[in-house]
Amino acid sequence: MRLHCEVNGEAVDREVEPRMLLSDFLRHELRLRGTKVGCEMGVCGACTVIVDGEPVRSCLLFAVQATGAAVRTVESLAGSDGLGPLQDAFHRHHALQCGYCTAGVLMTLQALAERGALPREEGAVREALSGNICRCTGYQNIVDAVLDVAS
Amino acid sequence: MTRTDMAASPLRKEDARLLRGQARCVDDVHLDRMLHAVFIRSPMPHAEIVGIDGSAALAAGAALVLTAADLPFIDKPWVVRYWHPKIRNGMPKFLATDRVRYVGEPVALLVAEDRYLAEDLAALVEVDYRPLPPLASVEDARAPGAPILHPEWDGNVAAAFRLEQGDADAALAGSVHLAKGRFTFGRQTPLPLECRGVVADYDADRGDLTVWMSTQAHYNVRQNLATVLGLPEYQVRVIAEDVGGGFGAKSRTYAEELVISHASRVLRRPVKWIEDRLENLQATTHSRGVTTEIEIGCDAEGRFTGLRASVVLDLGGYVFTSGIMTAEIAGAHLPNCYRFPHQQIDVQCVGTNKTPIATYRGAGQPEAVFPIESLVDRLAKRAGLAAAELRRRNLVTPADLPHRLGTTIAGLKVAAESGDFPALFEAAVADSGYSEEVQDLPDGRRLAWGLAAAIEASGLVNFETANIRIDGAGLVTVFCGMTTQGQGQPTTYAQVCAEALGVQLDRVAVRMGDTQLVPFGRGAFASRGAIFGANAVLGAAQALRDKALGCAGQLLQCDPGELRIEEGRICRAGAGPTEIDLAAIAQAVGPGGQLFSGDAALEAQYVFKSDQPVTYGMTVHVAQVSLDPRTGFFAVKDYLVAHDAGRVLNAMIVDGQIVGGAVDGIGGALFSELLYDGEGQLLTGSLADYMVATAPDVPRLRLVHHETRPGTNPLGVRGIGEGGTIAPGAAIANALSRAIDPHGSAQEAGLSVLPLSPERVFAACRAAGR
Repeated sequence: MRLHCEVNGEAVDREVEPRMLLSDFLRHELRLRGTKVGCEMGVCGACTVIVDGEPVRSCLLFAVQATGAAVRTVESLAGSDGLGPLQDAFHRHHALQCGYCTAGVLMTLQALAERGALPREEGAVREALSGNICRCTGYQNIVDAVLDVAS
Repeated sequence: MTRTDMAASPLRKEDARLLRGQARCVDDVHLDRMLHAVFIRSPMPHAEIVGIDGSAALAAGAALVLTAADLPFIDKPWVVRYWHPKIRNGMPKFLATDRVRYVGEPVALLVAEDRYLAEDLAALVEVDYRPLPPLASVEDARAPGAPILHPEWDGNVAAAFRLEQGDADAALAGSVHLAKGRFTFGRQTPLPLECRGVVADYDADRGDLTVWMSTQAHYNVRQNLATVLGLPEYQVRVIAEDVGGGFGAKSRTYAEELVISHASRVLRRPVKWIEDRLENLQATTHSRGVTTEIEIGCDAEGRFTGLRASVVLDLGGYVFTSGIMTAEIAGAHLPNCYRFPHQQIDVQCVGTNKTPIATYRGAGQPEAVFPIESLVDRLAKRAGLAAAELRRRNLVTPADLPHRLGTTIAGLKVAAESGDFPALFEAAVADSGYSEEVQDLPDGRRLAWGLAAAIEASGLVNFETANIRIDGAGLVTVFCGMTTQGQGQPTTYAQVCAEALGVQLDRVAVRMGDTQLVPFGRGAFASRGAIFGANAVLGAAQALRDKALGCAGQLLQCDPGELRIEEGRICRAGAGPTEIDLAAIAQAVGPGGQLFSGDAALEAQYVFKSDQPVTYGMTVHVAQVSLDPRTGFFAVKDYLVAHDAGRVLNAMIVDGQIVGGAVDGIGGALFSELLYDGEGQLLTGSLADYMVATAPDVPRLRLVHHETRPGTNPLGVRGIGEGGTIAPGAAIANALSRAIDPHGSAQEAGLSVLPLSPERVFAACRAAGR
């Protein structure tokens, strides 16, 4: 099937198998390796990308379902002048260790930030992170990074 | 090198590329003409393989189907790091030969043009099984007439041994107070967020093999690839550049990397295999799965008299490539941080039709701490003492050091040689607000504290290599035999190098995770990154500093003893900087330079080796829980970890390791359990079934640092990767037990199985209410 969409601001026009997952399309066809896959069933949140402003699990979408949509991945967050605000806060607060969950966490938060909904209270931050599994950090420094950006 | 300097906690050098999504994990490797593989795995827990027919898959377009019969190396032995002498064989073949012994065991490999197609074609491979009675539990395995899993496993016992000191029977018989219990630490898995994976590229013309993979132990993999596949070791290159977590799951060689490499050799094309999450839960090694029956006693003053225990590991279908390490440590660490003059610990590894057991963060230590620390609380009740007070009376003190636990690991007597356990314990009690009074809330809930103390081993596996090179611009590169899964080595090693050499931190780059970098190394496991890796870097940096100063003395025609290096410049003692810097020395030493004497570059290599098998520290975890005794619903409200990291190289990174480890341990205590049904089928095959801690499940952790320096290594560091994971199960169970039974009236609270699932807690509440 033909897939027309926009990824990180660039037009994409590709022939894809109907069954190809969006996560595989981004990672293996477009070679945007920042998006990671952890569970293939929408539980861990590692593959979260933003589709038309909404955070979605790219492992739960077929690539062709992105037809006409604007898709953004972690590669879109840093500008030419450096890391984006969330990325910078993650760096300053040691909010990542192996980094495998980081793209999904960042895109979950980025979607909240763009609608001005980044929580400012610890319990709400933890709830906002409840769909992302991190096996390294114990979440605490991620919470601190979010509170820093939100304030 | 002062603590203040090093604890300044520079931010991580490795962050930017990870944050930008530029990490290169194994599934991010794309090679020309690369093919994709899937493993056909046993759906049966126990069966004979009658036949395997891949012809339909090949006819439909598979590039290759491999079975055990196709592997010329099928009978070759694995290269293992260490082996307990009591293990009665029972290692797996690289693909199952005539029998499968757990669900998920690799039986055949199929290779095709892409992954989607490979999965389609794998369904066409027909494997004919004749089911055998499954051994779904240790009880099944021990039943009379049970089938024997391996000929050497008499009674399905894969290994059995006793650790003994003094006369435990007599000591217990003469005790004033006794407590005993049976504790089970359920089966769990390390669950790195990145599953395993391999890309193998065999170059037939050069006869060399390059393998990208997600591993903690690249040199052990290289050894296995070289010896099993019959390749020269230095023509095998294993690259583990970015690894999405390990936690013990990736600290050994698996069959998959050997079979994928062989497939690349057969096909003369690169082959990729990426484990999916179902495979990860079935076929990556499991851990914990230990049941401990234990009895301890004390005299009238509350002094421990003796310890007698039986530790039984539900081993699974094979002894895997890290042997029975967790069972050994689970037994050896039972005496914990206490003086037990007499002890007798029987350890038995029993084969079952489950995934083989290997290490997971803590590696036997959580399995030891849960029973002993639960039982100390119970003994305190019997003795009429506060649980904290009973511990105080038995903790190893500085005057006892060096203190031999009385047990052995890897045949070596283990001993704590440094630390101040009582001071650490008191700090934890005081700073946490720990109390043994249970607080009743107006809504019917109860608030209660619990604690657990633990001895903490770090730095097993005894050497590591570092090579440091300075280029003609004066830039420094550290090459190390380690790997990283995010523990911060690129930053801490750069700190150690910069400090010892006398250069700015931003002039130092660290490279690791590639067997081509240094001739031999080990990798990141057993909390050895600081003890072995950082001390190797220190040794190389000191050697390189001396070498550079020697060259500077020649250039400046003075005694090198009068010189030092500051910010990369050679300085004279008592005078300012000279015109010579490390760039000039590197240029002078290299070919064409005025000091050239055959060295290719200004570099030094150092292997740090220690005869001290283990560095011990101590940690105390204090948990506060709220419990609704009517429903069993509970939550961890407060949590404090007191620990001794020795010299802190980077406080930010150390704290990150402690918090991350403790939250993993809390999740493990509350949620994580691999469940099998009575037929040996794994029921928890996805992340919807196998649960770990998420952000709302845990409170903000508080840390207490208590620093003493171990004498086991020049930097004076202790490992801190695993300590956080060791004690949560016992601390939370002790808090919950107190909340369930505030006045100690019930016989025992009965929280003797981890994880503390809702039904187990509810059952304990019901039992206490009767």
